[in-house]
Amino acid sequence: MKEKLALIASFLPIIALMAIGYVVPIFSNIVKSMQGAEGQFVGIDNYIQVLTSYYFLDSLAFTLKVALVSTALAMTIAVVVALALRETFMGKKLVVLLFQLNMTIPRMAAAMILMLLLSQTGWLSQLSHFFGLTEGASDFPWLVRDSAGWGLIAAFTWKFFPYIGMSVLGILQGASREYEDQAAVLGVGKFRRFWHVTLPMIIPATSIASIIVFASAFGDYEIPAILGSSDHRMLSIYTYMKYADPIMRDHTEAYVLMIFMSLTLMAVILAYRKLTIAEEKRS
Amino acid sequence: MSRRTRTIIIALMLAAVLVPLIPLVLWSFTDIWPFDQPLPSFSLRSWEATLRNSQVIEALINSLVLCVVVVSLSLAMSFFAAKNLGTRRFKGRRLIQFLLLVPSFIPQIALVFGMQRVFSQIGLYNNYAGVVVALLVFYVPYMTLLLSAVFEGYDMDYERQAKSLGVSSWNILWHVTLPAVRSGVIVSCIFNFIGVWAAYLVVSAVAHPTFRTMSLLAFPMISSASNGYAATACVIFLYILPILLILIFFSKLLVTDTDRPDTNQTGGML
Repeated sequence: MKEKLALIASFLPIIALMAIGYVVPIFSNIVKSMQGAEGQFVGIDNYIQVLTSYYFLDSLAFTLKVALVSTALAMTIAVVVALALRETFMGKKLVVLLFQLNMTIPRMAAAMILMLLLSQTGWLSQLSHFFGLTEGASDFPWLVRDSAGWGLIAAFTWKFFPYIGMSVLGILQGASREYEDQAAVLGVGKFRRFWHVTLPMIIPATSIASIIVFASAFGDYEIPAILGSSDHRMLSIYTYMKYADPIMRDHTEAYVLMIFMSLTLMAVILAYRKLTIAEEKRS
Repeated sequence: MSRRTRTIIIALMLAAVLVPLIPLVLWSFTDIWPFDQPLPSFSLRSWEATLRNSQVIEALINSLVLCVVVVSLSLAMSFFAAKNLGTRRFKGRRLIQFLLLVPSFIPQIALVFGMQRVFSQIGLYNNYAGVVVALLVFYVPYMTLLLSAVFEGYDMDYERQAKSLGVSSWNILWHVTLPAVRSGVIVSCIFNFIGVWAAYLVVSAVAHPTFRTMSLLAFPMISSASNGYAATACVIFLYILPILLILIFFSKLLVTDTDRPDTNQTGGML
């Protein structure tokens, strides 16, 4: 009994924080999202109105595109680099340390760094002008604040690939090479060996880390606030704009968007949990 | 993978990590950089101005103090919960693990305005305590998950033996438990520190308008570009520097240690 009380007591601070930080705010957001202009209850009317609007659908499609493309790129780079970092070689410790650098750089700093590099007046543009590849700043392609979202994708990929890479590297270094060596002895080619032996080994960790990266890109505010264009806005920016809109003082639309984002990410957590629990059982 | 392919991949990776930092460094050491020159002329003017700027110094100190306060409190608030999650199997464990993931996944933009409303009703708005509590809301669950992964590999038998020998619980904690999980705890604190250091939306939602952290100082500089690139580059440099120092100082733990918590746990620091 005493032990049970101690167990419950150990979670009390967290429960208290979650209550004032999540439960009450989310509940209050839900209430606000279902109110009309005079504060009356209107049920899901606001949801139907907001979630079918052109601007919302455009923003959702753009957000999904940016988050998915960034995740796919980060994942591919991460796996390739992790495979290269697997063996031991001279200077490996330094290389692994530098490999982790990007994921520790704050998002807004990452955005600024890429802006100084990629914008039309950025360093790459200067270099390409100097070497005669482009004629002046306006001749250089729009890589940041572009309507296709390449600046956002570059920033998310740059910041997040080490995160996936470190998980993959952890698995590769922990795993024995036995199966791969056996397959090699049996004459299985390099590519097939990777496809049938190495890849299945790293898929779980890769997908778990990638889900986190997807969620981080999906909901981020800072990077799109700095590198985003006004042609298509990511959902976080759209939400903020609706919240800060001086005409719509009741912010109803913003609350609907907040609940939508929360629910979407809840679904992502469920997928994440399914994968991690399966992994826990396997090992 | 052949040696040559490996060398090429590693070289490309290092270039991708390091080349983008070059313009940042160059901008901080110049005051004018005409477009048609690939390298600017050297000047320490921006650095002198930045380091003399009392707002910057204030923001640096505020951020450091805030990080130390929040990380210590998170450690204290999550330690025993994490130990229970990692070492015991009890009813409701999975549910708790699920709830702890929420802060790392739900976008801050979807939460902070609701938080702002709730916090203003309980006296945690426009003051320091509010900033600390708001950060704890996000980073205690993250810390708990990181530490519970550390405790997964912890052997409770040592504690039981010490207990049967009549060692007090305080001494067990200090001489048995903590030394066994030391490196995992340090790495978890580093990850938490990085998260708190970079926190922006949540701090701006509850802090007093005059309160300044490095994130609060840097964001308007970057998004409006009104201070010019050289000044902004210096501030960004100072914003990244403490993290770089931590990475270098703890590099041994971060690169090789086997007690390092599984980074898969959550992306709270991202």
